[in-house]
Amino acid sequence: MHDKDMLLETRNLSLNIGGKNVLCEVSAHFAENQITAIIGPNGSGKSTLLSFLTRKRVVGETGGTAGEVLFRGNPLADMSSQSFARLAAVLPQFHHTILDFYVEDIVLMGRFPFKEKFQDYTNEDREKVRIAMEKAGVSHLALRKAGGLSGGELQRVMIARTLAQDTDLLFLDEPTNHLDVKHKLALMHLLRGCDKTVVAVLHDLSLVAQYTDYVVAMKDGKVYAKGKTEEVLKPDILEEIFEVPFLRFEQDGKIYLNY
Amino acid sequence: MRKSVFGIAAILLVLLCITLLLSLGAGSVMIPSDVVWQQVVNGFEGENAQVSRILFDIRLPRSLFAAMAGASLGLTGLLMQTISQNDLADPYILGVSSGAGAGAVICIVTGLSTMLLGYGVYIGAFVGAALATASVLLLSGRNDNPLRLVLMGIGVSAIFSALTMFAIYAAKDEAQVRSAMFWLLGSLTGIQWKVVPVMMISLAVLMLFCWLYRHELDIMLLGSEEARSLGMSYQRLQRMSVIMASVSAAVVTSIAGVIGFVGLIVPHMARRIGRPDHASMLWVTVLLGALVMVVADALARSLFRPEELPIGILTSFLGAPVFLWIIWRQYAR
Repeated sequence: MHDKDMLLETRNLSLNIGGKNVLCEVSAHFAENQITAIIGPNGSGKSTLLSFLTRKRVVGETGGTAGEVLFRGNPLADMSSQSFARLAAVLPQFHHTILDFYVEDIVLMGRFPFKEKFQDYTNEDREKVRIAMEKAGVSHLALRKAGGLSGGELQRVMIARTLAQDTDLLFLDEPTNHLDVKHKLALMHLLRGCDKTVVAVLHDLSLVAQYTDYVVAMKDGKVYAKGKTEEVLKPDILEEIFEVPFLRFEQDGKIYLNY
Repeated sequence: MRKSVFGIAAILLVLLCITLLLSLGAGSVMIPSDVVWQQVVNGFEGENAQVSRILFDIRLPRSLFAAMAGASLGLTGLLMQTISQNDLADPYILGVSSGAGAGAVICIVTGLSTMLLGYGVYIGAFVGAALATASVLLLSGRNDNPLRLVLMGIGVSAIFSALTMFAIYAAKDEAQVRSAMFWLLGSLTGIQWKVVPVMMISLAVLMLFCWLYRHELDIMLLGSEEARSLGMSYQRLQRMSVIMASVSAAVVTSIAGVIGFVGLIVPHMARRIGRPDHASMLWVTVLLGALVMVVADALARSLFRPEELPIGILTSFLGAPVFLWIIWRQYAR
């Protein structure tokens, strides 16, 4: 990976909570306009690593931290929170649902970082919301209340809100949660098709194999392997990380994994 | 969709105007509505000077105050519910009323109330409310867990209630105790024109605040973490809102005493009939709060004519069952 592609970077990032190393000297790069997947077993530090990239945790401010998180070579924490919100959209793993709000109003909240202070949302904002809802396949839910939606529908609404923010950077924590096969593939296809830098925590290794460019594989708070997807997703590496046997075969240039 | 809220607001506004007019007739002396109408049309200069005086000097300021106090209490409740993300929050839960109560009762019992140009009770209530608010703010610190805020409010409330009880218990003279009790029950008796402008300014500032921050308050419902990832300074708005809500509650409480449950019920009703976003909630809550209070006050002064029921007792009778129902429904599982 060349330096010029490098958008985000962590250097020797560590987090110690109560004597336990949740992250241990994590150094990873995230390249511009590429999809990078963070994989690893439960509790390996995937979401924690993402929390530093999304500034939920900040080196120095959060206790027990060490290392650096850089955006284009500068500390990520230097940016104002509004600038960051205009640059990066975050889809959290667990989100807070405002049960009695209409879906369209929830998606509209994605435009908040771009709104002038004390002003209303503009027609341009509403147009972006319309497009985002179409992409996420939730246009038909616009006038439904969030409280009445299924888990999968709600997840797609949150994806629509993330897309409505229309940022260059997308951070997604298990975005395919609750989604059925059709919507999983549609989402990954959508991410593949957009010109954005995507960092996603993913569990489904078949999706990782087919739709991502780079992989950061974590185990026990450390980076176990990193690199191009086809180089990392090898049975011997995966077996070490996930502690189960893997089978890999390729067809028409696509990687298929079985376990 | 937006239009439907305008429709609801228009209906509420018409209802409020009618109720205001009707409420002028209610009281120890019932005045028929056609006489009230005649008086209003003629600018309270009718042939019967005594009726004019009752309507203009006593009932009009009182009804106007009731409307604005109701609007203010409702909006304060909405603000408190949003910042604490708790449907059960209102100014009383965060300890403002207890603070105001303790301040006022101490003033009455110690005789401070007769000093300070006769404004002693109001000033005492205001100081108490401010103290309670400051304590809750300081104790919650930089922690933005909504539960912590509410629990701190309950704790602070308990301390100020104990102070109030002690002051009443230690009072030597029967009249003082009665006066303190009466004030604690909440009453609009004796509201005069001179307090109307204060209430009006307080309500206007509160409404302006809620209007300016309508979208931020929506975002606040997402919780601190998501609000921050959308670039909003959560704690700053939370603190501003707590101060704003406390000042508004202190103004109402220092003039009319403890009027419970209006701040709790009105936002709940507003959510059911309107849209849940703050831009819509603002108008529906204000109008509904005003309507509820004007009706409650009209009932309070006509149910046991010629005696008058303190409005706080009435709102508690009507509001407490709703409060219980909310808990029953929400914490059923």
